[in-house]
Amino acid sequence: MTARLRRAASDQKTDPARVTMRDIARMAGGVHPSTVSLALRDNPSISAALRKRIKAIAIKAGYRRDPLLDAFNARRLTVVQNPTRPVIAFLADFPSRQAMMDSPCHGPLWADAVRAAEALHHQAEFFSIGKEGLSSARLEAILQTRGICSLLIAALRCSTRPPELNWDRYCTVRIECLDWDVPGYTVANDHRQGARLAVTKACEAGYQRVGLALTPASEGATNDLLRAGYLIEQRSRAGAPPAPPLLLRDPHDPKTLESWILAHELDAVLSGDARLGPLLARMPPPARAIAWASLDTLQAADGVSTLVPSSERLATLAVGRVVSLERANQRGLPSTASCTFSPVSWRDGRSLPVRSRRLR
Amino acid sequence: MAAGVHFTTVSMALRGDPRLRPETRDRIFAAVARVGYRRNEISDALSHRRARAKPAVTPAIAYVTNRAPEEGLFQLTFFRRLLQGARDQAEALGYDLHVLYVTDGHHSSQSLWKHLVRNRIKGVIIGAFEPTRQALVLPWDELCVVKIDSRHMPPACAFVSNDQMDYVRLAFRRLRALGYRRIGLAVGADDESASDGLNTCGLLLEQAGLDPRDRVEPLLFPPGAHNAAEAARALDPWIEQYSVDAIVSNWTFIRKMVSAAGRRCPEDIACACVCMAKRIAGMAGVVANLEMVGREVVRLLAAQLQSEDYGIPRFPSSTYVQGTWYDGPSAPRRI
Repeated sequence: MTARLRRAASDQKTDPARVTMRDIARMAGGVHPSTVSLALRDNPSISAALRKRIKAIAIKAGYRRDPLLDAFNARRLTVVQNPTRPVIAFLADFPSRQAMMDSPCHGPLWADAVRAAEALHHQAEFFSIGKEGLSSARLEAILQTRGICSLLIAALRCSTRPPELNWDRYCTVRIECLDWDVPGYTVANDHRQGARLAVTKACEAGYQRVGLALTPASEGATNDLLRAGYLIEQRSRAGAPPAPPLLLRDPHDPKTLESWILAHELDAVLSGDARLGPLLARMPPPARAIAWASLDTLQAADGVSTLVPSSERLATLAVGRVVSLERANQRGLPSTASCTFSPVSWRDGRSLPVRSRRLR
Repeated sequence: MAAGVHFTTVSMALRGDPRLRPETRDRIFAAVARVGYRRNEISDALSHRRARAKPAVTPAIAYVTNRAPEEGLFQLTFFRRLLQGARDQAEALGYDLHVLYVTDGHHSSQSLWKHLVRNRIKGVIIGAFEPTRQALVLPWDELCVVKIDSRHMPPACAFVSNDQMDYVRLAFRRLRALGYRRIGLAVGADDESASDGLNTCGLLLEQAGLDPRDRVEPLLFPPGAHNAAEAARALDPWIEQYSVDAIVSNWTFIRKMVSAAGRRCPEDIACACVCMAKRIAGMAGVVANLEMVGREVVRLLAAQLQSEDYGIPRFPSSTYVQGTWYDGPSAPRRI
């Protein structure tokens, strides 16, 4: 319970019409107010039957939750960690914090998440998950002991299985992780907008037969968004139907890529995988000379024309969302999914030079 | 404790109470800096409430529509459900929700702005403005603003919408599972451009694996063609040309249009609607999760308000909410 304040004799309720937990406690036959508090919050230490009875009394009496008090209690009544800055757990599949900070994608994301958390009077803390990290059981135990209820799950690799946690206990926001079976709150880069942007840039630079190549390294859902953006943008431009996108199963095999490029007479390739550059370099001419751009938001490609995600925007959106859920004490997964997309920008590079407009 | 005084003295120092001697105050601040104490905004808000010296002003946000109640705002399920979701989330977060209408007989942009200033409202939700109606013009730099739909209406702020691409994909997959093979998409051209081609995106993805000869080109009903007879004129030749056996449409009266085109649903052709605000008797299709859209838009706004993220962002985010498919007699299992 919150600390008892000494009540003056003339102390009255702020709002005489407001039903409080003390009233409910009296109506429930003189139980302690803390029992009411626990029952309304579905704490398992109160028997199911008593919980049901108290909730019914509360509804009948018109008891309304006080959101400020809820938020206060959610922070104070769980095990006190840092009393002024609650922790947001940042779960990522790296063996150590250093390994994560060294990663070109997660490093900036982590740094921006720390900043975004700080700006909202929270504190981000890294927890390692995945094959080399904490087991789900161990992670759950740590989160419970430390009273952490807000989680960010940061862009797991496709091969990493999501942790198995008791999701009802947490406010969870996923960053990318679009392929999970279970619906959730997600924040991701706007791959669809990015693909449309890339097609536009390639056409502006004078390329007329632009193809899309994808690899299984990207999540299925990410690939779908890239394909959707590519197809709809191509469709909105008059001209020959676009080449069918290629799903390159083996990113190290140049032959499939080469025959696709030649079969469709492509003059530029947009790739969902930044490793296409080195692959193109291994192909015989004329395929080797083809212009290309990267749509890969997880791997950087220096000097290459590429989409540029904003880790700052992504982190701000993700942290803002999880804090919003926490403020309203809305734990658990939603019944239908919702995804917030953060727009990406473009950076010109050497790989997609502007073509002269002369017809071949 | 670090400063060796009673905690009420510390409170007085932090509040700048003039009764405190400057030396004591300085001593306390030094201790505060050493210990790293920071005000807990929620404790502040609570103690305000208990002290009753100044009643705490419940923060408020505005939900604005460009359709008035007398024009059916609360009768139309679509708007009602959005508003309900927004109200629920506002309450859960401790905000008052002011619902305001920008239309003849109610607010103009100017009077709305005055209302916001008077009530110290810094957050505005543009609740599914209809593009054919009045737009809203406010000094956006002074406000946090998010919108539901109306992607192409100014301001170009963050928005929340139904995931139309996903709805169409859901419909296609389900209809294929029910045995339909020549599934066509028929949507209003206006609606399609308003959603940036999301319905077509869904179609293109689902048809990507098909041989080009098996693909059914989408039918775009001409702009303004809400007249069933007129739209039916476009429907008949399209159904013939592609031998369509099931239609996915965003118009709820697609069945009527199909009959106007001289066909029976579901005997001749199945129908599914991917833009339903609620379940419609006899209709298979996707029902939007509109309460969630309303909740998401409030969450988004609350996050912006907390970070004091005023003005129109250069790169506004877009949030898409999934819906739920329901089977129905308009698309039975094909034998």
